Amino acid sequence: MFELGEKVIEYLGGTDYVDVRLESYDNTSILVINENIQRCVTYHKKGAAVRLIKDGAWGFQSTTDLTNKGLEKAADSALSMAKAESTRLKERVKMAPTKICEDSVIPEVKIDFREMSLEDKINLNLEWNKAMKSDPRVRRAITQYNTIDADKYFVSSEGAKLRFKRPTPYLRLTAFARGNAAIQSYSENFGGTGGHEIFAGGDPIPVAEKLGVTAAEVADARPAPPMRDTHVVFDPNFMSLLTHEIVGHPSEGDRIVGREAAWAGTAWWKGMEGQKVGSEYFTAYDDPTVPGTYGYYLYDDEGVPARRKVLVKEGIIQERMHSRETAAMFDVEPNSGMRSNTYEYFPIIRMSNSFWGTGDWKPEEIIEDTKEGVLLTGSRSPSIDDARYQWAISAQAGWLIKDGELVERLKNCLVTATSPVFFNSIDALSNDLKHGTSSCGKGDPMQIAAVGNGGPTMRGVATIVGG
Amino acid sequence: MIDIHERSEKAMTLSHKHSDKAEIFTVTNELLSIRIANNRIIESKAIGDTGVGIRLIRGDGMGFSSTTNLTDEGLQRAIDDAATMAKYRKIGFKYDFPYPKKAKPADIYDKPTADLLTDLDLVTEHAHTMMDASMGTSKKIAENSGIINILKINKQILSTNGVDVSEKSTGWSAFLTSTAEEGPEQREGMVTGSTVKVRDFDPAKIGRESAEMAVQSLGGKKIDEKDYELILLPSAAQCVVTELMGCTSPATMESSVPLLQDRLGEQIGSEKLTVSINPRRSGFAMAGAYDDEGVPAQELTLFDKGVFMASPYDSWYAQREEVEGTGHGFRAMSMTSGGTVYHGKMYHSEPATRAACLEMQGGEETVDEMISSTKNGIIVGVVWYSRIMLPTRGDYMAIMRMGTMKVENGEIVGGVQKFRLVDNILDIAKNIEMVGKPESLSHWHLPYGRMAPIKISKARCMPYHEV
Repeated sequence: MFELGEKVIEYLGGTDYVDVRLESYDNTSILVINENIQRCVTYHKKGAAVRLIKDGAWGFQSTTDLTNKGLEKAADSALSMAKAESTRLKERVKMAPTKICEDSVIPEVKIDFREMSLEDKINLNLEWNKAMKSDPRVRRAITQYNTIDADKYFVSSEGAKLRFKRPTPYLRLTAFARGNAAIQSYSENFGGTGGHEIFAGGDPIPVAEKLGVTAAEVADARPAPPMRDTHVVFDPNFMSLLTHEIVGHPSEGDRIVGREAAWAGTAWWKGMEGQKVGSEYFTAYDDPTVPGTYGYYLYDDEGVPARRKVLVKEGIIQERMHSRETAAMFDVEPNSGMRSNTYEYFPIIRMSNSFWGTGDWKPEEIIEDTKEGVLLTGSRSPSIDDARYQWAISAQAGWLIKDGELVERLKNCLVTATSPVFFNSIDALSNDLKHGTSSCGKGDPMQIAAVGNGGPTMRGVATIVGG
Repeated sequence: MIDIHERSEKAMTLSHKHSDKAEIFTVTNELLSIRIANNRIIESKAIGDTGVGIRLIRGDGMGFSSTTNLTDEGLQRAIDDAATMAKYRKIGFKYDFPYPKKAKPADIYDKPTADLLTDLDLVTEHAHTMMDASMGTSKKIAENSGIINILKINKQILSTNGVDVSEKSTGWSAFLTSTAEEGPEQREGMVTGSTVKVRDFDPAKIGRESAEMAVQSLGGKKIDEKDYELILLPSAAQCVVTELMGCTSPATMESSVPLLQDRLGEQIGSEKLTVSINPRRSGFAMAGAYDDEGVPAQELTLFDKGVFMASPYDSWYAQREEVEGTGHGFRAMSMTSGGTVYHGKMYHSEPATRAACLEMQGGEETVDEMISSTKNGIIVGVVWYSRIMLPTRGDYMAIMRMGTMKVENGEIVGGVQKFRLVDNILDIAKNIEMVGKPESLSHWHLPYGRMAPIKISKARCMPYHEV
């Protein structure tokens, strides 16, 4: 595969910069609803992307035609794009220098889904699905299973030569239960880089059984009452979405320089590097190097070596996520923020594993210390201001806290706050950090990235929109 | 150049040995994207993607696999995978692939649009025309961002039941977000456009109107938290109505949002709400005479005067529920909720029900009449992060992001700051009071369609502090 890329670079001799990504994907998806296999698909996908700079302008073409002729055609097309763009150029593309590496990254896999037969995968999914129905109140059990076996090659005209094998299993379990008055669902996601060990050590059945019971209890719970500016305690599953939306996205360098202003938006804290925006309990990172996580990689899709980025430290804004191009704009070193969904796409700045730092409280100590408030567990859906300044997220369920105790289950929990006010209100942080599993949509054409965002149990002040 | 008809025939021949019935879906997607930010073109990029999706019926089972490897060997591997899957995935009801039916040709291909894929100079010129028109509208315009996408799709569907459909289509979509500045205040305006034919593309109009929306919203004041009359211009209306239309799909009802389950024939919205889907409507980008199973695409009324009339069906869901198919089986990204990753056909997904090409039945009222009938209301141009936050109850939230202007006693009195709409999606539907003349719209996260401006008699609005 490296040879194919090197041939393209040779063919484009005289171009300012070229990188070629050659990637293959083998994917299996299984959807089970109430012990019936609803859908089951595989795909085998292979292609190449040629990205180049000519006369200060970008050109990019992807192709599934990997013959010499097909690759040369893609190279010609990318070149013609850059040439057309360069005629009316207002600013030449500059890329910050990076360490040029040759490496091969093959993550550790314990329970390897690639060695399992389709029959075995189907049977496991049926078992997991059945486990959710162990509580008779569960009316619908849904199991969504997906595995991707990616094999990626990267070569550049600067001499980088990288291979990254990326096996990523994903499992989402959802139980719908009927209570006295209504139906409610509760879900749990697993995902990471590795094998089935990512799914609760390889045995998600106890989780699936508990999920059915939880869904049934939530269905019988009372709706959350409106509570303005109250203490909210978020569990690690809720933190996964919260960190993603209000810390990760506004830390993306392309948002900060206005490149996502057309639709995704900007970042309210642009130009505020070094300023204090939250309490001492607000420390956050983005780190693709955490083994086993859903956002794991050791080189990004520009060949930049991955490292931990400290986004915020004790309430003070530190660094942003960068491409080589935005790093040059900020006059900093690139920090491995560029990823593309597959070979089809031009890479964009993405989170990998954005997460909140830990504190020294235990989760139960935070509850015991709370006189009145709501514990929110799991997340459903976000609705976020385009500058990431104001946010609302629905939780899967909640508990009313009174005098340090969980006194009543709640459903229909919707929480909202303004970011800086919330960041400054954080006054307790536990040690139970968990990396979650989710997919993030960004870009045009839209790309879906696997991210392992997370955090520990945390307490702050926000408003519960009740009803 | 790959001859997709010849490859489809070959896949059909190879699948004979392994199945009772076969369906071969082959597609080539070509997409050119010119991305604008910071008042300049920042990237030109293109996708070239060819693949085949193979669905087999074998005994009482069904299997599906897809590949980009269109050699005999690649096709054989996908067929083997699909055949193995059919062994384990039992259909559970009597299912057969659709039989051939002739559709009237649809006006969905335009050679000049297809030619734009290689005419980079002209597309670049269009991008500059959009930006220049925006900047020329007002000195208050500080920034422009946006995109132009040019798309060509060539699809082929063959089946052992005799379906033999070849269809070529083209489309373009574009939008520009203009930012107006006055002192520290910034307001945005955005206008989108899309059709099949490039002759309908008026980049200067898009640029001018997006700038006008931005400038008109300057002077924004914060609103009080209460119910307001809302006038949603077509783009904003499309976001809200699309959320409701998504609930009509049987797959969505089953897996995520059960709001409309078992409610066929019920009065859901006001008498002003009449919405259909019409994938064969001339002028819609992504339209077609046939769906992605080779069934003639039909116009289907989902809501007639507020009554929930019908769900769209692909052949699989239709036969499972023993209802007539409606010709709405499309290849989307997600097995459960649809959605595309880029503007093209997804060969790696089985057909799934999708409410594509929404068409709102227009009313007689003009926006001016809506304004003059409004005592205390707000006009909204563009909505952002439109979501059903609590799927079993229908609690809905969205940011009212652009083109927000206060109306008092029948007159526009000035801009208002961004705010959050917090209401129930079914209540919003019931409160549609006036409907205007529809226009064509598109955006990457919305189905292509025609949407009218609407007036909602009351909706709960929450202010929030802006930066």
